[in-house]
Formats: sequence, C-alpha cells, structure tokens
Amino acid sequence: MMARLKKITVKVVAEPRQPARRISLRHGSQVGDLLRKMGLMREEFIVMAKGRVVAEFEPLKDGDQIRLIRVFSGG
Amino acid sequence: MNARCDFCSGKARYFQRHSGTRFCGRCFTKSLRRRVWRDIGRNRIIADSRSIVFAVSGGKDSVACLDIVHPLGKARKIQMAVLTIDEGIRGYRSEGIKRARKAAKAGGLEFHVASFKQEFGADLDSIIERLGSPKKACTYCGVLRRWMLNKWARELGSDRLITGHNLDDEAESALLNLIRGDPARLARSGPEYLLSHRKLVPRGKPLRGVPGKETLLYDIFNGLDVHLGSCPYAEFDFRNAVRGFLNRVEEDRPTSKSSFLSTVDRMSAQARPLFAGTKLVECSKCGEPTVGAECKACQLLGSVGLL
Repeated sequence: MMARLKKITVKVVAEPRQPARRISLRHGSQVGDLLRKMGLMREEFIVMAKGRVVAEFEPLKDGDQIRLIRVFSGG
Repeated sequence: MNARCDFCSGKARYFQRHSGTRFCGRCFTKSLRRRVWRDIGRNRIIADSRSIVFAVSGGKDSVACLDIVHPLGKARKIQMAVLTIDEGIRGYRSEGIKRARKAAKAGGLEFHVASFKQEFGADLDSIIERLGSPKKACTYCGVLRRWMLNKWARELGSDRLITGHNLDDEAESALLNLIRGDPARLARSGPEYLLSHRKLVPRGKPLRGVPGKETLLYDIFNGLDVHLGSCPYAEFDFRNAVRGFLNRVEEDRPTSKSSFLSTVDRMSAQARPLFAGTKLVECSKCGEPTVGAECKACQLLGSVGLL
C-alpha cells in the first residue's frame, strides 16, 4: 500500500539545449509513463539513462538521471 | 522488470511498437541493415551503378545511410564519394559539415563540400535577408540544395545520388503534396525514379521505409557521431505542422506512416498515366534538367536578384 503511494523524482535533461527538469512520478513508473507525464510522444524522443538507450517499459528509480534526445528531421 | 531482446535474450533497449518486437542494440542493428539492404535490392537502388555520391549533411539520417550502404557498395566495387552542401546557415551548418567529413573519413571516401555562396553568390542567410522573412527559407534551401546536389553529383561522374530521406520525410512530403493539390508531383513520387534525362543523376532513398527514430537509434547503437541540432529556419516551415500531425497519428496507431506512404505510392502509380507526357528539358537559363522552360532554382534566384 505504502509503495503504491510513494513517489519518485527523476531529473530530466532534454536535448538539444533544454534546461534540466525534475519530474515526480508514481512509484513503479516506467520510461513510457515519464514521456506521457511530460506530454511527449514516444515517436519523437529517445530516452537514455547512464549513457545507454532505455526502452519504454524500463522501470524508473528515485534519483534517476534521464536524457531525452529529440528525433528531429530536416537538415 | 528486466525485458530481454526477442532474438538473443540480451537486455532489450528498444521496443518496436508496430511489430511488437524487443531489440537489444546489436540485434536492432542487424535487423535494420537487413531491412535496408533488402529494400535496396527490391527497388534496384544501386543496381548497375558504377559510381555513387552520398549526399551527407552530417545529420542522423544521412550518416546512418552512408554507414549502412557503404559496405554494399564496397562489396560490389562501386566507386563512392561523399558530398555535403554548405547552405551558409550561421551557427548550424558548420557542425554538420564536421560530422559529414568524419563519416567520409571513416569510410575512406573522398569528401566534397559545395557551398551556396560559391555557386549562387549568396549564402542562405543573405537570401533570407533579401526576402525579408524566414518563412520561405525551406523552399529556397530545398530547391537550391537539390539543384546543387544533382549538378555536383553529375560533375563528380556519379550515376547515382543517394540521400538519407527516411519514412517520416517521405510520409510528410506525400501529405504535403496532397494538401497542396499537386497530383503531378505525387505521380512522380515513389521508390522508383521515373523521369530521366542525360543531366539528371538518378536518386535513391535507401531509408525510405525506416522511421526517423530508428535511424537515430542506429547511430547511437553504433557510436556514429551525428549533428543533433535543428536548423534555425525549420520552425517556419509548414512541414512542421504536418510532421506533428503524423507523429500524433503514429503515436495512437503505430504503422500509420508506412501504411499511408504505401497507399500514396499505389495511388501515384495509378495516376502516372495521366502525366505520362511529362518530359524533362534543359532550363533556358542554367541548362539543368527541369519540367518547365525555366527551372525552379532559376525562378527563385531571379526573385531575389541573384540571376
């Protein structure tokens, strides 16, 4: 019961050139939940943690540092 | 949860929503290469080619395209070179050129840079100044870049110009052509190149079936150095609205872009007989191939006093 109510906070840096944000999520949230909470589309972002790409079903932990890379075409 | 790759049981790094497949980086790379090589064979993209020029901007798509196609060209002993167009966009293009040069060097390929300034006497930034607004930046940039790519690829002696256009680009272009009411252009689109002219270097788009997200994943999994910045003029392009719309549809219904593009390809194949009389001729001003008397590049250059 307590675990369900517990919140986690992750630090998110979006590239290119976006300031860092702290996002609170329910305990047990996954990468896909983070994108949904931020109002972002899975199609438009690649998510990285500890320098590795993480899939949308990867669980998040309190204090995780997440880097979002925008999929941008044109150039 | 520690999800595993569906092929090797390594840690899953990517979930391909449209197929329901989980991939580790290595199996994703193998799968993507196989898919692109199959499309290259199916659409005869480099069949009978002796000399390929890769148009590389240094961005995620063109660098991935070069990395995937290069081994095929090497195995077939095709002569290859890399061509980058420097449009002259302050604070943006130089980063891409660095990456393009690095990608060419990694493949042991000749590297050429051709600039707007050298070719037209003005870079894109000064063309925008002449226009007084950045709203049409992408129109000028796109038309002039295509004109230069063809001319330079031909002058470099190539018989194929390979670009990094991906599924997102192609679906956006198809929808833009429908919105603009341009059935003639739509009829000319598709995986095969239909119009021919002795001065036109046939183009190939090996990544036409690959979503932009997957080309960037390929770059990351393979440690390729790509320019991630976005062009300062891109926000003014109507294509942005179309891109956002298609991404929202894809988010709700994966495979939407590919099924839309294949529907449009079938429609354009049906529409081709209506435009069968379309012939390429030489532009009355520059001599480059065009469907009208004066090519679009000359029209645009004339409109800003550069011709």
